[in-house]
Amino acid sequence: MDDLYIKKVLKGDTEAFRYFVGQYKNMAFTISMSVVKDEFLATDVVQESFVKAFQNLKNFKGKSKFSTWFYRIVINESLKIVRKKGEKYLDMETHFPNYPENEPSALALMKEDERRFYINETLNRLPASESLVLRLFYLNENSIAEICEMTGWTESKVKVTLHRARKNMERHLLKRLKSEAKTLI
Amino acid sequence: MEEKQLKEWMQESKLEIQLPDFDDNVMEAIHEKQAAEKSFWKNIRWSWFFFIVGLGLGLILTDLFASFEIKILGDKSNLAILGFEILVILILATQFDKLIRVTFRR
Repeated sequence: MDDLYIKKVLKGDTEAFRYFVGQYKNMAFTISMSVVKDEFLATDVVQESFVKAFQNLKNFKGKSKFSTWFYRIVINESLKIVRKKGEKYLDMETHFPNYPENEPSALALMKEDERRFYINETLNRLPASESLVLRLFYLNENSIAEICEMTGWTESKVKVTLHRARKNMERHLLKRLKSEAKTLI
Repeated sequence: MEEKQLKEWMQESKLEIQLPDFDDNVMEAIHEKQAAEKSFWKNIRWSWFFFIVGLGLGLILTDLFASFEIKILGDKSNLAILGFEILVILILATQFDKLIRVTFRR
């Protein structure tokens, strides 16, 4: 379907690009949020990314999926914003103690909206690289090779970041749930 | 945390853009860029047109001044004409350079 609309746009049907906006805006927003951690900035990034994608569509060779190519633009635009702001993110490995990993997870017992809140809040607190790789690998189900293509990272960096991200995600979730439980008691 | 469980929970990490008219905003931005692009090339074409007209007029005027016997400045008339020719060439060269850079930058 993407190929069909790409051909339409390249033939001069600008409105046909609306298909891509509808199809990819939410995942693009999710990816951008992983990096910029701000809704307003992420919205601007996604809009700018779509405009750039439209302008450069003639350069899309079709060697990869359109989504891989487009999300690469989103990631680059997001990183530009982060560099402009000069922000750095905590390396959570050094800031949080090791919680036992065999504790039963309270997440499974929560309501869906509560769980969604904690998961997204945790992802928001993780370093940009870690929340990005978690979302690309588990949510968008991209392969390691596709993640390498989108981010420009080496395969080993993707794997190391993914491993670290899983650990940090679990630790932070446990810490957060424990502190929530304490406030309730 | 099990891999399967993490994958399941990560499905809930998908966010949505809350702006209802986001799609329209994007398409409007695209249309604006297209209009700006069209306007840019139109201005470039006019710039080249006036540059060529200016070049032609400059050459004609230079030739006319050379053929007229201007006695206003006496013996220094030839120097004045030379100065004028140099000025025309300098203006043409600098403007030509700018025009080339602007045209091919895109």
